[in-house]
Amino acid sequence: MTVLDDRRCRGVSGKDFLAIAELTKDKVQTLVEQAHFYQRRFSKEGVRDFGELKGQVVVSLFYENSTRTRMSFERATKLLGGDFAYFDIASSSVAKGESLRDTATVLEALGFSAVVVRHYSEGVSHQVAKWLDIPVINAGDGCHEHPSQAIGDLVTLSERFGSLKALDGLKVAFVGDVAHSRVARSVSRAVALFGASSVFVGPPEMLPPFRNMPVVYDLDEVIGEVDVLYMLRVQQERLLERETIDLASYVRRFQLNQIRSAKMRQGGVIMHPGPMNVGVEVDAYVSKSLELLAPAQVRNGVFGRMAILSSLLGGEEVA
Amino acid sequence: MWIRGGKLFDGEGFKESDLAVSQDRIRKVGDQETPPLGTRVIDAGGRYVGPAFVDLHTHSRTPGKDGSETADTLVRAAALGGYCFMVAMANTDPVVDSVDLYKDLTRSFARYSVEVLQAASVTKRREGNELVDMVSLHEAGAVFFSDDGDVISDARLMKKALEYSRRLGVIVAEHAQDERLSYGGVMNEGEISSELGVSGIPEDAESVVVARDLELNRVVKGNLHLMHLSSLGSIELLRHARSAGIPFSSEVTPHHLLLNDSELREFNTNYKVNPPLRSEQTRRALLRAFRADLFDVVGTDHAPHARHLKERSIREAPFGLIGLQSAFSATISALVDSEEGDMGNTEVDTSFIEESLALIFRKMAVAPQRILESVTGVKAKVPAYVVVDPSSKSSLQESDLVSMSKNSPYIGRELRGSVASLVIGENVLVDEGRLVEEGIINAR
Repeated sequence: MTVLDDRRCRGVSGKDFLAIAELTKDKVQTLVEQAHFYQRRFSKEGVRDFGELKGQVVVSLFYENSTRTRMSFERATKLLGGDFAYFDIASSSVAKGESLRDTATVLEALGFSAVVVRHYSEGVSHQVAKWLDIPVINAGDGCHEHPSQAIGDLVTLSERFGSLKALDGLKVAFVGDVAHSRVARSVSRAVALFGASSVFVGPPEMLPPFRNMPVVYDLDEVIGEVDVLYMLRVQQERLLERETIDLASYVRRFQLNQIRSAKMRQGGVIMHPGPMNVGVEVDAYVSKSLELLAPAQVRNGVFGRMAILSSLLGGEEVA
Repeated sequence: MWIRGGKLFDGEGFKESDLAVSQDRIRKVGDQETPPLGTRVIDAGGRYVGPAFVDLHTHSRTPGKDGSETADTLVRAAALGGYCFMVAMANTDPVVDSVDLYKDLTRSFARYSVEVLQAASVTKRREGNELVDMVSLHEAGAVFFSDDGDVISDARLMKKALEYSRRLGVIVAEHAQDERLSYGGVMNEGEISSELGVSGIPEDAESVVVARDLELNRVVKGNLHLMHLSSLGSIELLRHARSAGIPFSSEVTPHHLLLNDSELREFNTNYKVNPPLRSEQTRRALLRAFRADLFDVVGTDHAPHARHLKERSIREAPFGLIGLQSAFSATISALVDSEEGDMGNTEVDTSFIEESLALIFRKMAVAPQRILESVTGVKAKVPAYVVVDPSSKSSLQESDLVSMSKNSPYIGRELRGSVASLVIGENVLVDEGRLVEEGIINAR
């Protein structure tokens, strides 16, 4: 079992959206197709209210700061005609020591339609999903998964390469702190469903301890061979914990900069989940590069999340 | 008190025999004998009879953590698990590092028929910096010393404690785990932790300390007890130490024999335990080593945590699971049902079950008693016996648990084996699987 090949379903009920590892290819494909449907109607037909979630209120329970993901969920909910509420951790009873379960139970009792959970610990959305009857959406759990990011990224990739089918045979390199990356776990699992392979690039300290998966310790070794360079955000506070790596050395070996990016394969693209540390994992040149799909990732993240919300809360089966 | 109609454990196997138990002695009863008038008779109904269990590794939570367990709930859980005697760890609040507290606790536990031997910590406040006054504590009666919950990091202190253990005739029990290697870890470091992104506790965090302690004891020859061993490296080190004549005793837990780290896939915090549940490969190796007599005792590491503490994230929830009430079932299930090829077998050979049951009586009753007595001279005050059924299968319900805390990994899991009766001297504590309230408090 690795970050790559674990696709078995863990029997989690269909009421929630928790991890790519627990979804079938069909389910993921349906979500991506639905996202494309929203994207078309949004940009071509100018639709701004899809009406599917009328009367429903989605609440976010974020134990970790994230403006982007939360706003993306809010935007998605509102485009679907629903309403969005925040549970403010800092000023709530959580700060007074209320248990996770008690907090979650309150949200259900307040009558929300679904809860979007982000937490610094792995597995929290799974725990909440077991305790509640309403749908739970994982908006990132520790270093485990960030499945809504992966749906949005599949939308972006299929748009760029023509279709989901076109992902078959593509090579994706994840560069950076793979061991602690929920994005790498979710996105590598998602692209694997459609036949793309992944390689993980970083210093040994940043790769999972059990490396039953292709790893490379030198970016220059693979940069000319991959179709997608997925640059992970360097969490500088984590770098400091590592003790054995310093930032300058990391930048020298793993930064995607102007010179390095010239070695990329023709037609290759760069992805980044944001927010970018310009000057660390990418330089200023790359941050403005046309090959960088980050703006599309943000845009498509909204449509991906609309598809997720619709599949859990929408009245009808999605197309 | 007579126990009739059972198959009695004779140290090796089982023979049909009746037993007379009193406060100060036991004897086999001849075929022709009839019980004297007024003798209480327990009908074993063809089940197995053996010495009641002894746990060298219980967290009583008294004092200071009575939201998780009280002495009253603890002894009831122990009784239902077939235990007559247990050693209560010192990681309480405050830590048991003083003569006064040791004496208070010893006095307060004395009211129960299940005996509780209070351990003392090895270092003051379990901070690892300064030894407790082992001599005075020993004079007050303490014979078991452990910083369990934490390792004794300082090799020099550990060596000193081992020296005292030899001189005083007490046990020093180590929670072998390098603090730096295990730092921040939540579960076993392995394929599953890599898959889940959960930070790991590697097996070598344990083995390096086991290696250190055995090496220290090569010369010192103290009474080193290595707790809850869980690594391939530890197994190798124990083999080597045994052949090199280095003294030690060792413990394995029921959960490390039965469960593996894939349980964490559901992020159920009841599986968060320290040392962590290991890979299936290591679990099997532990089971083989257990059968091969490498571990001396089975210890439960019964660690109650109140519900609100376990209903936190996998990172924040405390380590530990409750194990007293289910120890017999978990261990017999591990031995009989969890080995390669045995999974799902409905028909299990009687001789295989009896062999496993004999191992359980040796490791859960005879050996812990023997170690305690041979090192410290302390032994259970009154003889105690259990009647067990190693074959019946049932699924544990949360409502079956009498511990104040419900953090059992076995809830909803079908396990083999049950404890039918527990007799301590003339007290019946458990009869047909049910607690007998009058038996809990020691009449004398």
